[in-house]
Amino acid sequence: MKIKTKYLGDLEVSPEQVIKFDSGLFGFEQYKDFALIDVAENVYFKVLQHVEESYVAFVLVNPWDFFPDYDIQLSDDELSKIGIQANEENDMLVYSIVTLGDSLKNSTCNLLAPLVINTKNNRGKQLIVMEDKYTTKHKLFQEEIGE
Amino acid sequence: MLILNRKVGESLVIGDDIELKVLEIYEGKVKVGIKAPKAISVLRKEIYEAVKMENQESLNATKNPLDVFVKNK
Repeated sequence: MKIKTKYLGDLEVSPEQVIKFDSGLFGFEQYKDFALIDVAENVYFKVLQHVEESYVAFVLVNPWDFFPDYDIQLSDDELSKIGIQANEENDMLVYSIVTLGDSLKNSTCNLLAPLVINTKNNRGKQLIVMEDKYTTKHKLFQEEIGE
Repeated sequence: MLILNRKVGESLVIGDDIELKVLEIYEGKVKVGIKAPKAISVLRKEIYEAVKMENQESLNATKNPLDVFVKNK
């Protein structure tokens, strides 16, 4: 199907690219169907684009690309809502939402509330991690890097 | 908002399967125990609000990630 994207123009997406967030994202509970789009020019981020509302698009990164020590515990009960059982963790992808600034140095990453996607059934959910040390705003790069 | 007084050790029942129990009151803090079905998520409100705000803020970004990621990389 063809969708209008916020950043990448009109795109043809396959049904397999569409992830269902049954409860939406926090504050965006009404938006449930998103396409997870790779960006050819850059391997570090993806775009989670709502299939109908073009302005609803989130920039995602793999948190471990930027925060190798990111260490989180996710609630089994919450994971089971998207069909992930404790012994099936290999079928799960974790992404963090980026809040873009005018440069990478001024961009932040939400490590408190990652998105978890079950790649077996293409269902996703935004979860809040149990660790107190993570917040909604971690700088993607420390000052000295990324200049 | 419904307001009820409870002492330590007393509970409230909400619907058929949610119970809130006051476990301790100490120095201006109340420790609350919550018994609820697994499908019900319980969050501190300020954390829930912070995540909602951050999601909104990330949507409001006017920069194109292609510009930010590709040109600054």
